[in-house]
Amino acid sequence: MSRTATAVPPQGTPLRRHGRTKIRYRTRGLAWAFMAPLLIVNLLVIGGPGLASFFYSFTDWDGLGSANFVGIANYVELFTSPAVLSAIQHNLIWTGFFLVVPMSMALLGAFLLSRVRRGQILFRVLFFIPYVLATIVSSIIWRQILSPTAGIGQALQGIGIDWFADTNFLGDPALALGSVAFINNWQWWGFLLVLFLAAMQGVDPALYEAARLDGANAFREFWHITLPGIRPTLMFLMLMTVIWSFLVFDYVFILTQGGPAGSTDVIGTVLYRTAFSENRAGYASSMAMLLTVISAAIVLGYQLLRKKLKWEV
Amino acid sequence: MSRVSEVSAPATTRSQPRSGARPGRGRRTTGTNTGTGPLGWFLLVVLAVYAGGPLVVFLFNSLKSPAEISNSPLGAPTEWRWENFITAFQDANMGQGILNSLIISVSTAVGVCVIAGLAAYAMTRLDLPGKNNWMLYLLVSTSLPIQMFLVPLLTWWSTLGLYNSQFGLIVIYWAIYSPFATLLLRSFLIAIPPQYEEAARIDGAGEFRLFTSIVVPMVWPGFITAALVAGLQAYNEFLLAVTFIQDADRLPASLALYSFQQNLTPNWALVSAAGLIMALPAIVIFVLLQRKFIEGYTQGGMAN
Amino acid sequence: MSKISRRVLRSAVVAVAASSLLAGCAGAASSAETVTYWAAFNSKDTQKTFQAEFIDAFNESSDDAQVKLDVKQWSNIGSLTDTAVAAGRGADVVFSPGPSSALGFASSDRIDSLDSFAKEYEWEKVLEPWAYQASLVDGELYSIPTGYGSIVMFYNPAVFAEHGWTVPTTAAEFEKVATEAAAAGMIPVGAGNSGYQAQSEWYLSAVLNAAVGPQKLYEVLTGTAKFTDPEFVDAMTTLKSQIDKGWWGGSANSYFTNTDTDMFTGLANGKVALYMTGTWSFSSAGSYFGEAAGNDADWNWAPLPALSDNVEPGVYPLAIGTSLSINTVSKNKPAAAKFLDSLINDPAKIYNYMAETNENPAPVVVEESDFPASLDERIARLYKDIPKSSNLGYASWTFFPAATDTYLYTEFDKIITGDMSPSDYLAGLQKTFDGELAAGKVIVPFAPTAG
Repeated sequence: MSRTATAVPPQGTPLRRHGRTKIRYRTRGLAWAFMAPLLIVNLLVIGGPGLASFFYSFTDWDGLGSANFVGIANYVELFTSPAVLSAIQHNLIWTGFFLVVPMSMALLGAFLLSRVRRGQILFRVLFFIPYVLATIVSSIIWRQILSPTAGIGQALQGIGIDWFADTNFLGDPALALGSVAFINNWQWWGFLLVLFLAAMQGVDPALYEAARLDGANAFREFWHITLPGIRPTLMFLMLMTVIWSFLVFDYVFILTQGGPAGSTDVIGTVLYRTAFSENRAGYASSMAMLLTVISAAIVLGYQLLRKKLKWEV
Repeated sequence: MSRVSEVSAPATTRSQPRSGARPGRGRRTTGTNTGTGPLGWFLLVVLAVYAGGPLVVFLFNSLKSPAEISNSPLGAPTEWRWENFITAFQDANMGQGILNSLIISVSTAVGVCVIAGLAAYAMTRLDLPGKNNWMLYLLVSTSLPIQMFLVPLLTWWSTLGLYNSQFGLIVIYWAIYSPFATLLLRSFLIAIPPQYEEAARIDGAGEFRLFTSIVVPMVWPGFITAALVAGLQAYNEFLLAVTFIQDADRLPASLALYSFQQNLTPNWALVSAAGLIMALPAIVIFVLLQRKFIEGYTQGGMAN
Repeated sequence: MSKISRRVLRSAVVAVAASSLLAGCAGAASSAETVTYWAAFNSKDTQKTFQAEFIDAFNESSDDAQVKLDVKQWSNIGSLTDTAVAAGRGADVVFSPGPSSALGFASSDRIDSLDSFAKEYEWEKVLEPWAYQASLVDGELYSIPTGYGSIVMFYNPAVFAEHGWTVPTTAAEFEKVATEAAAAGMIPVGAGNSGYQAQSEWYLSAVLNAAVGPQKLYEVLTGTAKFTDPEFVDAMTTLKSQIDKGWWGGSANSYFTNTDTDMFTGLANGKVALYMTGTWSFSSAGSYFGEAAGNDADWNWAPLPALSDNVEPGVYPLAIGTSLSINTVSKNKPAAAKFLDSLINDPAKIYNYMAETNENPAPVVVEESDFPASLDERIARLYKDIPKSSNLGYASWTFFPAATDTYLYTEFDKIITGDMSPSDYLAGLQKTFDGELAAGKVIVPFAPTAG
């Protein structure tokens, strides 16, 4: 905490400013040179096709033939389509889930683990392995665990707990979205845990000692020292979580393809179906533009918040 | 890169920020850690069961037949079909596939580190105009769905002669995995006070030399982290790989996960076996790197 | 000129990049000598057999043209081909999952008319008339169908004997078996769309053909009748009431988690009474029954029963699973055509290949004497019956255009959950179809021959 939040910025900022006045002309060209590789690959792979998508979003392109300009018809359809509107809702639910569930689990696990010496590596590796697995593999595993005929519900029934005996996690439209999110969480939270765990080791132990002398319990230590100490990591990952939550595609596509009855449709799956099953690439491009606008809005909102709270990240 | 750091980074410069960055490590390990109570251990075990239980199902799957997976999804295999691993390995030509995957992942990881490292340095140390806008640009460019770009990208790659080559695929990975790595490395660099380079700068060292010999070694663990994340993503990527490479003997191992059919239904037993084979190298690499990986965050703490 | 500059560019790239990565960068599309062909197979063995009997055999007999097979997966061959062809690349021989997709390539000039080759090789005589007709776009041949099948009703004879059932042919018989199976705690009719949403259209194609009938479907596909007509509303309403009784897949929720594998496993162990699905399952059914699956069960099939009193029992909805065309950018079109011809010009060879692999054959005119003795009797029966049958119908994935087809199986979920009424569903279907019919995206179906 001392290092991250207080020590660096006061030192760093003036020094940088000082350096800038001296070496401005030397480094401006150099700055661009250092950015050049990123810019070149980024514009080539993302920027260029992104512009093409922007153009196609105003056409009726079918993905193959010629494209005819249709004005803003795609955008009108976008904002009046029940499928898209319900997909946006699902993305919002997804965002909420991922801001809360994996974050809390990872914070809890990392905090507990940070206080463990023996066996920490074992836990750390075990928690991280799911992140290494390919999406399709973890999807198969969980499809079986959640099987309505011989899955976890029946296994629990076998030992006398029949809470889930009649639950069809992926087949019930009311539960499917949550189930898919939960499956994705299995793969995701361990990754967060490892990042949090690392960040926690950067928190100055002297602060814990002081707190302990004041008689603080573990929860207070977590709340008053750990959490503020890893705030930059936490905020960065929360920002990425929100952006990634609007991009979610593969788990939903593999597990439910947006079904049952559209109950797990997110923008990613609607976009994919529109572009590749219905062959309406122009309309799908307008969905891609929507994703861009949403994430730009999120980032701008974050930057405003940051300015207001005077954070450095 | 490691060669450069060994040769030219003065030992003192390297050790300074390290010892500065972790003022209390020694104290911490020797006494102040209170450990975890019974409740803490209980919760850890619950989390371990949550993480590990499904892995057991995974292992069982890879040893069953498809019909048994359908009949008894959670039980242990009645007959342990170790031959699934041989079938999967041979039928999907996974030896070649894993070799290709390693070439692609390592090239991706190295390239992403170079690209993102340079960019992060420019964003934090050099006089780059509009710094906040760069962050916006990078974050937004991670939010574009790549599926929409396949057709224009394929047309360009074809014109550039990059289609159907591993290099062409790697360039795409560089582009899509660099923004996250740049933001990550940027947060590491911000955490390091610039006076370490100032001395060298006044001595007249060029920026590139400063970057390679002083800055890179200081945030080396950050590079390990960025490399691991980018490499893993490239390792498991599938859609771009099959779109941009046509020759079977150049395709990565992730293809194997889609190549076992039982009429229109995938053969989940072989898919699981292939998935396990594929995961092993990645797990080994994580185990080898994980201490560095953790240090990566410790060092930079993704801090500001 | 452009060729030279491309080469210059390519060598520049080679110069700056690691050479090992670029070892094979040059020349992916067709060179003058090689015809490239992308295909997917049900198993490694099938692939090997195909390679030996069709690719290697062709290459040996051909002096100049050589075919290079690139193996893809069923899950991605369609989208890979779409992407590559849209970008002006792709193999010389273009894969489509049926004539409707080929129509899309044809109308954006991505594939060539095959008319001149069709005359040269007399493909109109080689192919079954209905299949030739379905492959025409504005009267010109644009694709060659190389695999066809139908939808039939799979059952387990031992389970039928145990319950004293006879194979249903009429709606009343079907309902009797379903009612008794439900009472016995079985899933009366296997169904589910877990893992592959489009599975729903297998069942919907069965229901539409068997409850509404080919004649009415033909009228809809040619624009003279509508999906909103009472026959369709009745069929969907009946289907919905059967779903509500738990006949299709057990229950609404389990419909969404049943897989195709589950249904065949259920047939084998007596948990599923009937399963109406595509004849591509002939190639895999064996793995769920008998020694391979560790049980003593066996499977058989019967034509679809009539699901209403207006339709003659035993309709065969026809489906073309693979159509092949020639890429407009191919540099070796005559050779590609010669290869296409080699895939369909020898019925005995095609049926022999089927006997070895259980793969669907091309819809070629065939004599019963061409059927090898080693061909499974159950498979032979289908392919002897269809040419003789006058009750041929239309599988949705072959005869419906893309957006209509997608609507058919995605929105059907809402019928199951009760979020949408059959008439609203059919109105939406008709609306989507109207748009595509007007845009020229519907292939002209063969005329039904039954009354």
